[in-house]
Amino acid sequence: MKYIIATLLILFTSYTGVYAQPGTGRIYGVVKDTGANIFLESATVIIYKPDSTVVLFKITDKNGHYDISGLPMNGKYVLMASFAGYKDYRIPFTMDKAIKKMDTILLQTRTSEEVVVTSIAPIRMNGDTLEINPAAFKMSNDAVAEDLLNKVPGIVVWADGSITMNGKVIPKVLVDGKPFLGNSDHRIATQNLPKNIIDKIQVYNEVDMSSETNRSRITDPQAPKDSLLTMDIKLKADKKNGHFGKYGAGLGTDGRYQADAALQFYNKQSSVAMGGGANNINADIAGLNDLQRENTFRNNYTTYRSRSNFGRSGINRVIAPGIQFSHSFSKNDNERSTNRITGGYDYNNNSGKTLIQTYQERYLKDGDQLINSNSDNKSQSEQHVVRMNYNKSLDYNKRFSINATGRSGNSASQNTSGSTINTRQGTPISDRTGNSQTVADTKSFDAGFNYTNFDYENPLKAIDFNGTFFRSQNNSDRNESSVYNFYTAAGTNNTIIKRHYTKATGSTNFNGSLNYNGLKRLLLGRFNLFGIDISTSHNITYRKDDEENNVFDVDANQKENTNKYLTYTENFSIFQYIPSLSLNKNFSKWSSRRWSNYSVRASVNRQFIEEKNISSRTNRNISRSFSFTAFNANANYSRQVTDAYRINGNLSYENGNGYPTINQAAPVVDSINLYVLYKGGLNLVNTKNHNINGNINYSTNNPKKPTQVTAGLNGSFNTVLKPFVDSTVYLKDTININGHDSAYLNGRQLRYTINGNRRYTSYIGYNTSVSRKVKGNQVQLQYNGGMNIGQAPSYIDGIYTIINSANITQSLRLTYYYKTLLIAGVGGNAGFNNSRQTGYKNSSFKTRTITGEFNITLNFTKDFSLANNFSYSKNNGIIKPVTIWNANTTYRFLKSKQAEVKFTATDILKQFRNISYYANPDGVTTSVSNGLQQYFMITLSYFPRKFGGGTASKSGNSNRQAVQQGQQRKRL
Amino acid sequence: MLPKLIPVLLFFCTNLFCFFKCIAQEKIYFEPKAASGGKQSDFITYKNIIVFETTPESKFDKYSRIISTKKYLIVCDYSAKKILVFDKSGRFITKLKNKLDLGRLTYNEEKDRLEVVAQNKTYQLTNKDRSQILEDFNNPKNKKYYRKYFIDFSDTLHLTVHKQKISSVDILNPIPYTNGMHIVNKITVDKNFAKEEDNELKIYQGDSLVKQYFPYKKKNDSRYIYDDATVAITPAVTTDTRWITHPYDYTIYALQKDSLYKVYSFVLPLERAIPNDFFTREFQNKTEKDNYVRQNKKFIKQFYVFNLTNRYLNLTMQGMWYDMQQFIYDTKTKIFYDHEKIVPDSLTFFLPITKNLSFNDGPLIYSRINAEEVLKVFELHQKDNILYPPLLQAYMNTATADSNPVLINFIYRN
Repeated sequence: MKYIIATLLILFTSYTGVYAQPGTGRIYGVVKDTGANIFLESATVIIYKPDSTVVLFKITDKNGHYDISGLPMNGKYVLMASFAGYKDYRIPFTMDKAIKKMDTILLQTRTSEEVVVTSIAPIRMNGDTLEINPAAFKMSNDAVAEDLLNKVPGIVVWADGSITMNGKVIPKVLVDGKPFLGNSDHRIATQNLPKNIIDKIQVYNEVDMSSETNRSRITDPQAPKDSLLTMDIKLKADKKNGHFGKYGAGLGTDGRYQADAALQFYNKQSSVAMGGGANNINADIAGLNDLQRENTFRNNYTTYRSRSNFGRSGINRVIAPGIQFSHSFSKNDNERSTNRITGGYDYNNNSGKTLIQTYQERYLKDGDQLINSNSDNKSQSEQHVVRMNYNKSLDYNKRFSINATGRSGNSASQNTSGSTINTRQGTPISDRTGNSQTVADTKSFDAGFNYTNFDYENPLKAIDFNGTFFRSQNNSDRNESSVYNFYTAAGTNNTIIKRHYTKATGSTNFNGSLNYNGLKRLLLGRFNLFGIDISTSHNITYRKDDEENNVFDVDANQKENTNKYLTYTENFSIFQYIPSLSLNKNFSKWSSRRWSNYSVRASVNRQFIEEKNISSRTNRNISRSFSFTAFNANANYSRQVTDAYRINGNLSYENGNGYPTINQAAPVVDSINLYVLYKGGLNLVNTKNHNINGNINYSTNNPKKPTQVTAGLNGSFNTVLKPFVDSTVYLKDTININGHDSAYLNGRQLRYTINGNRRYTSYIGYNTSVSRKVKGNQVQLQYNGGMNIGQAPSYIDGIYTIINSANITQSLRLTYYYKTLLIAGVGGNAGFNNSRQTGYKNSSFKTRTITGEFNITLNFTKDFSLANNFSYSKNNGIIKPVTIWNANTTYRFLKSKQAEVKFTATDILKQFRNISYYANPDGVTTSVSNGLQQYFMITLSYFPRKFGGGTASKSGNSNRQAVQQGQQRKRL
Repeated sequence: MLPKLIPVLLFFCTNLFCFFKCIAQEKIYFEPKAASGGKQSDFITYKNIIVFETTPESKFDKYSRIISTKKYLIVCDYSAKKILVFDKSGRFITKLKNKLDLGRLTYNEEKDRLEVVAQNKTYQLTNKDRSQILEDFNNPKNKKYYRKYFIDFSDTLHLTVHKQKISSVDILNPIPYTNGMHIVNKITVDKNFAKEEDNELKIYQGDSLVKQYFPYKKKNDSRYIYDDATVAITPAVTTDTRWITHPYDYTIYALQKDSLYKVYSFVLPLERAIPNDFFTREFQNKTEKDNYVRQNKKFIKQFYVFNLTNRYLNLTMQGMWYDMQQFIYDTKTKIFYDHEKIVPDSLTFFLPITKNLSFNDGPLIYSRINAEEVLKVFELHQKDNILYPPLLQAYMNTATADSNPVLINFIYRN
């Protein structure tokens, strides 16, 4: 309780003072041409301070109208209006009213004799490129690229860091023509690079070369092509080197801690990033890239970011440092012409303790069983990963890349478990206690290359070639012991099994694939074959696995005796060759507003498999050959209407074949698990499957409208004929009661694999989202739903049993954004599962889960933010619903805002429990595990930053210098 | 009659020759940023309006080409692959069959025919194939790659498509000229070509090459490698004269019969003029060339010229990255006007006429304005009490954004 009071005090104290902002006002008016008296569209209206620093600006609309708000009251300003070919117009004014109507601005055309005066235009169009001039924006010295972009009309930086221009997402953001630090996540650039080191930002359309459709049209200049908006941040010539990053450390209650560090160095051609993290708050660290993304200078626009993972079982500690580099061999490296190497090293050390308690109800014909289990697991693992990637693209058409990754790791775990099986009446049937200790080490190396040439000028050379190599070596050593008690009327049968396992496995894998798109040209020359394209692909795989298993039974004197059944060696090899032939036909219709594209593709392949298993266990000496023919076809349709909508649909069918694995046909049965003995199956026949998938998506395509709508519908139907299914036999013992033999379930089961008749799953999913944006306010409504229906056959005690399952999920979420100042969201999910068994026992199980969430993030200023998150969950297996409240607040200080203090409060209501509830084919299971509990943490961070020759704060002067230079030019 | 005219024509041609030769000595300094503006009505006088009839059958796309023949206005709709015939008042006459291959369209004024040479769809040709075929155009085997047909507009009763045999010269994409001559203007560069050199502009009489101009390196000319380029040829003041402009040369030439004269030579500011090192640069691949083009978008690639009157020329300036800027050059006062700064006014019904030039018929110039634009103007000036011509007023009242466009014909003031 004392923590809650402390938290509330801190949070409410934070609110005070935030609203103490000076009043602002707005001005509006129109710009006209003096001669013709017409309204001028796209004229620039800039508000300067008397010292010529730009305060705000607007571009006039089609009626020559401008409206500028947010001007501090009583300030003195100069309004300047400019338009290409007209004389600039300037007028001083004082912001003496909250709403001020300005006199109509009449611009005069400039005669050819007049000298053109250069002024700093905040944005301008240069051909098809929008250019943003940072020097024209008066901003604080700690502003970053993202802050600058937020000031540009038409550009929105969203809470998740994505950027849109006039409603269209900008998927590619480059720095000096290439991905910053060799990383594709643009937030590392836009949330770190100071605004003052940027010379200009360009936004332009580029043909999307990743689109197969576009590549096929590259030689046809008239054909319509999809384009991607691309943003290129050009750094000033003297700022093309620098370093930046973050060091942070936090201490919390309950012994919780968290530390992060990320430091990045870059120059024109190379970059190095290094960092690391350590915590015991269940925060996963997925390598250095993850740390870089989480530790940017401006990262307080996120909806709610707390890296603690409350859904994870157990309490886990992680330490993860890493380093990576990138180097461009060419000074003019860019996205279309690359010669770049990237590489890195990541280390990860994890340890954790997990306690799990499960309660299972098993509904059986001869009497229900209740199973109580518990498990206590301690684990520790570490992994080293070294990776390298080299990319070279000669031009649009020819790309070459090689990559290699090496991994080495080891792990150790210790597990103690126990379970009891009782009848519903409480009569004990059996119990078990067990423990195991495992140590393992693993080493792997993989390498691959890719060469692509999709040059449509030389169809004979249109080839795509991939090759991969993989080698792994694993060793493990495990000691396991189990004590079983089976209770009968005659007494208790006690079985103790102790075993020591050592296992060494090695695997080598080669894969090569070749796609050749020039087959038509090769066979038919220039003959067009009615526009049908022919291509062929060939895929070859060779895999070789070696396995050595040594198993020892440990007797009462701790003596190890070789278990001859479980000790064996094996060499497995498989060679697979799949040639295929595809026919493809594309046709499109277009006009100035509409574009429709249809494509149909059909392909047939033959799968040749040679498999050989040489084993010291004679029943596993198996050599097999298979060959299957498979067919697939798909049809696509897309239509786009400018300023209206986009729609695309796809329908596909494919069939395939399956055959039993060696472990299904001739398993090695380890009797240490006496409850379930897996026997596999003889005489299994191959399976055949058919899959049909379809989807249709709709979205509005009109950036001028404030409302955007998307909707999608997708469905699939998959069926397997003669599927491999389990046949479970619940074992019984007999007891003589009053001279009569009576059978009872003893808690053990045998499982065989046999062919069933048919299994199918079908799915239908639907989603829609609506967003409406007006003057910095945005509302998003998202709805997702899905329905799964399936039928799976099995045998229980020899009775053919069908399990029909159906589940429905529904999700609705409403989010409101006010610029980046306020982000609020409310949402809910509902899930219903129904599992019905017919045959063995007609029974059905239902589960129902309902969750809700509310979150609110307030960024009062760039330096101060507060985030709150409330979640609620309830399902029919849990008596009391769970409500979680998490919150955090951050504050930036120092003149250059390079220091930050953050207070985090998790599970303020102290209600969290890790509980799951789910249905099994023969019953339901509830599982409870340990996990994070309430904690509070204070984190201090420092952001080292230096760009070019001076510090970031010093480079802020360049803004003033640029303005002064502009003034000097004007005076001249 | 004709003998009497000969001295007059001789006098006219000699003077014209002198006129071109005299101008050729002059360098004209042209700063695009400093080009002037003004009211649209200061430049043009509105004459008439033609409204294309809109019916489900006669609807055509925004990017269609309009050709004026002796009796008709022909609309070639590339997206729907159809040719529509309208009379000169815009009334829809007929549609020539669908799915026509509108490859290369040429109006032959002498025969009143629309001639079309299109690629035979039985074959799939890459740009490289096309270049090889062009180089070997005399090879009879190459004729199979193209098809030719024509529509005879003098036969008003039977406006049908007639198939025609293709000749070797047709493969060269010839532009009909005067006295049976034709001009070939396509520039292609490929390292696999056998020839070392070629000329950008070639004048043929039948199959025989008469004259050629502007030599270039056929295998690796830095200007044209990994690019498409043509010499621009447009009608000039007299019927047998053509304006000629070719890429990376800011001079406007006049072609008279088979002779070429420099007429205007423009000097651009340093920031817009292509630098000298471009002409000797060796581009290793298409991406390198594209990168150069992207990084130097401001440099001017080519001028296109169109006669407005004897005094005014319409100059279109194409940048390296295909962006266009249009200007009017007053040859008398030597003043440039930027189309972007010419503001539509009430005397021209606020319609953006000068920006949307389509074609000319002598001094009468036609501007095509799409329905969407007309309706936007109408909406914007609804309260201004403008007295629109009755046809335009009717159009504004009934048209939708999808309606066929209007043609405004006007003359430039001298």
